[in-house]
Amino acid sequence: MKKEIWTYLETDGRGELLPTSIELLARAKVIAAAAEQAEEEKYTICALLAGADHDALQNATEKALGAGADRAVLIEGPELAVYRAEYYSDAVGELAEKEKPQMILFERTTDGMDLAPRLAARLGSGMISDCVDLAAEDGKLLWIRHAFGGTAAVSASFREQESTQIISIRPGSFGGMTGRGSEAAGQPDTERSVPEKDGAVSLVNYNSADRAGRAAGERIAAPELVEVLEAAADRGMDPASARVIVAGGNGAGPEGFKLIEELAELLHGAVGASRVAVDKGWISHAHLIGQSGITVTPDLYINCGISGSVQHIVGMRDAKCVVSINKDPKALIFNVSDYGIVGDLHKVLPALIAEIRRHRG
Amino acid sequence: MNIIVCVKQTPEAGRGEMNPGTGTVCRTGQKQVINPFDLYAMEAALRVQEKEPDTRIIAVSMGPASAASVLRDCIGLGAETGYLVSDPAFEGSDVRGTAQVLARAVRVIEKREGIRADAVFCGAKTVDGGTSMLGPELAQFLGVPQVTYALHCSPQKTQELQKTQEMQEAQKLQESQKLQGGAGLQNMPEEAGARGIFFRVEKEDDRGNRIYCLPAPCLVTFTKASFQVRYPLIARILEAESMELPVLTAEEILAEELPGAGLCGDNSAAAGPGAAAMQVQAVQLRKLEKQSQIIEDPDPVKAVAALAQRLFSEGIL
Repeated sequence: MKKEIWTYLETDGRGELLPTSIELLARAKVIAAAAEQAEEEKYTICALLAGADHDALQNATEKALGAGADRAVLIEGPELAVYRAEYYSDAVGELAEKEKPQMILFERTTDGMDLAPRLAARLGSGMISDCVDLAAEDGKLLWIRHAFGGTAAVSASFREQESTQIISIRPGSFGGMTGRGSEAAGQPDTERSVPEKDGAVSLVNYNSADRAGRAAGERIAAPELVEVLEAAADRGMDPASARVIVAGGNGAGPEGFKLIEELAELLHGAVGASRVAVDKGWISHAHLIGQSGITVTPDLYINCGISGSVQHIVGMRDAKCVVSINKDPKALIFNVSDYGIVGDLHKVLPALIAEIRRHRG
Repeated sequence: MNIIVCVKQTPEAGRGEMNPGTGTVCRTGQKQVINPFDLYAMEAALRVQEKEPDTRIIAVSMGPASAASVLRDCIGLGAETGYLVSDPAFEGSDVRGTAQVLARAVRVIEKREGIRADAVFCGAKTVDGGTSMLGPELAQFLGVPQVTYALHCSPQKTQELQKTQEMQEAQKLQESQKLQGGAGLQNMPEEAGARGIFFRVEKEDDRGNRIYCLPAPCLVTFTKASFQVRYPLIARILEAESMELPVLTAEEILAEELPGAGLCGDNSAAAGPGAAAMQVQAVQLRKLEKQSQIIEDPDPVKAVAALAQRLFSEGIL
């Protein structure tokens, strides 16, 4: 196996790396340092980008080389213009079979969750998904993830075998190794001695027809993207890595969310939501916290008008401090709160906003 | 139209005990239910059936004998039958092993029922492991296209799509080969769209939900949509109680081949702890109880003052 860590990076279509991809490169540096220490071997970090727009990919590559990658590989082909797991797993899989990198890292994004397992099956690889931390023991890396709605922490290692390890990482995580979660992404790399950057960018052309044994004209079956619907109200910063989150549920309504946004802004935080709020169209799915959304670990989680179903709680129980505002004194959310106010959020929030402003003078 | 729905038995509310020795789920002493995300998959299959009344829905579950109850739940909802894939050899399988077994199970079910699955539906994730890995791995081993985290899925009218002469020829060829029992050819990857069956799938995406046209055969994983899942019918529940469910053992499963799916390892090591790529080193239950301080002052201004005083003094704000 080649002692190399590939990072699967995503762009926004204009050649700009997504924030999650920049975060992934920061994680890769931490992981490389840990692997180098555990195994006493040098690792290189290779940025991996796939698509059809050469200029956009080149632009993203430069950013990636500046953000922690030692080298980069671009897989280009007209069939890769739109992300589809079937073609992307074929393209990346073919290259990985040839080059045999030790690890391929994904951030747990929509595309990451769609692609990484299919790629793992293709390569005959093991995969660990949604990692939140990393440890090392007896020269081996231990990957840590949560199971059972966050009530159990599982640490696992890959068995020695001749196949690439696939790992997906939860955005905004890795508090243990980096000490401060995603803020470490901006810190200079002082832990790892960077190998001589060759800054090389390799270009690989992909055409699904170039395959021994594939019949002429045989296409890979894949879904066709027909339409992209408009996202519902987007309310500012992505909660995934936020240190402060103010969230709203059924009790909030559009008026309540205005207050929630105001408080979030005041605290330099992000807005979150329960499933009901998203289903009612008050806010986009990007802000959904819970079982069918994201799991967050902010320092402060203020929630308003959220009853506290288990589906929501699994997404926020790791918040350091939970403050809940709900009309119902028996709301389940109070069981997982540090502080709570029994009251109407439409009255409590303005009072809280005023009190914070007053305190700050 | 034939849909196979993969379902799993999970502990209720995702609370579970894990056996630290093997790193696998301890199923005793916990109320076991059908994985909620698999209910979304069943609901989706039933909605397809509402549009195409001759749709056959067959459930399959890999697990211990107790998993038969989730198959009966599916029959109660409207599945025609449920296959239990159960064998001590499969205990302790990781996701990859499970996907390999289920892929083979799909092929066995197709042979036994004399059908070709047009779609495999499953939940986007489970509430115990929660890895979201099974769907895409299963799709790769079956060699079919996928859409994950789907909200809605409906069959597209074939007359809306033009069948080319080639597709019709390919379809006729495959039909005749199936009748001749050409076992080898049955496993050939189908020309995309050759069946003339397509699904319109809406996938949940933060950047704006995406609508796909997905050719059958395919795999779709489902997340929670805005509609409620239906309740089972009393008559069906009673029928399900007394139905004998077919059980597939390791012998029959491992006799199935999965050609062209990029496999590793030999057939005999397809599943079970020996084939697992990951080794669980430790499982720790996390202490997550909070000491709640709840303020019940009817005057919001006073309540906020009390709360703020605490938050400021603790340095939280």
